[in-house]
Amino acid sequence: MRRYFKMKMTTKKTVLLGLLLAIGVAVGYVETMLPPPVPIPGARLGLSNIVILTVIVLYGPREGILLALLKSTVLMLITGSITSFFYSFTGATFASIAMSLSYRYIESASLIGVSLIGSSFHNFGQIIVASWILKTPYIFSYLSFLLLLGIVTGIFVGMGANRIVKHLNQIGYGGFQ
Amino acid sequence: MNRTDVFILVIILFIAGLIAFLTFQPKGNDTDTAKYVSIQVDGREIDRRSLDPARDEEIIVHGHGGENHIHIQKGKVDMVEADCPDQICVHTKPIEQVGERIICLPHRVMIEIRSDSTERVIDATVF
Repeated sequence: MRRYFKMKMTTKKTVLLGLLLAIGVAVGYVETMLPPPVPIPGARLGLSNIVILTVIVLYGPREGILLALLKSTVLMLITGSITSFFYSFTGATFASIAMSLSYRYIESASLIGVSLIGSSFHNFGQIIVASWILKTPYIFSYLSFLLLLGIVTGIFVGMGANRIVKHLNQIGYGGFQ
Repeated sequence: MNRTDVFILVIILFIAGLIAFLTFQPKGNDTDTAKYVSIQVDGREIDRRSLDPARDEEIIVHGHGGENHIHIQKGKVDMVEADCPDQICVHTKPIEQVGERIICLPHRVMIEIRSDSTERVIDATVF
């Protein structure tokens, strides 16, 4: 188990992961200022998946999931909201695992397809937390609306991650260990 | 976007439609018809009317030292007229959810929407 979580860390990688984490936290913080799309307290669109997807492509699933967990933890320290931590944590975990798996195994999909799956699972995770916190299964009726919104977010995130990866590769920051 | 992406998008749309279809509930289900209006004077219930959306009636309540006119329409209850000095009850917005109340303190009149089931409708939870 220990060996599984051990990953090779070079200074360059640490710095780039830290920078991407900062971007993810900033995007997540801006997102908390946007009005919520559905009347569920704490539910978010998941725009910061753009960073998680970038890390999954550049480094791999373990780094991506690690960044997702770090992102929601740091975001909780900034916003001070425990409720949105649960939403963010579950959403980010679901999204990062789903994106890692689909990036690995659905080879014909581009980053847009991968992020579509990611944002769907992000919304699914948030709905699970919402039904747990509000103690009502009826909250699942918002899922279809959230999924439709997630398609827009997913396409946006996929296009954004595509550009980031392209430019990082061009300046020689991508695809190294 | 390539063909696989479009395929994924179609699948998500299909799942969203399926969930929307499964969770769709027509309005006016049986929890709505079980609601009733409880009219109380001095803490005692003097009248009880069902809160049926089809109902349209006006009730005159004789409270302490005056009258209150209550109007029930489209499943909402409103205090339309009262000869009390402060008129707070008249300015209260129409009520429709279980647990909502209109209170006329000078006449000691309270109108409350209740339900036969003990479950209360909560409109928000704050942590």
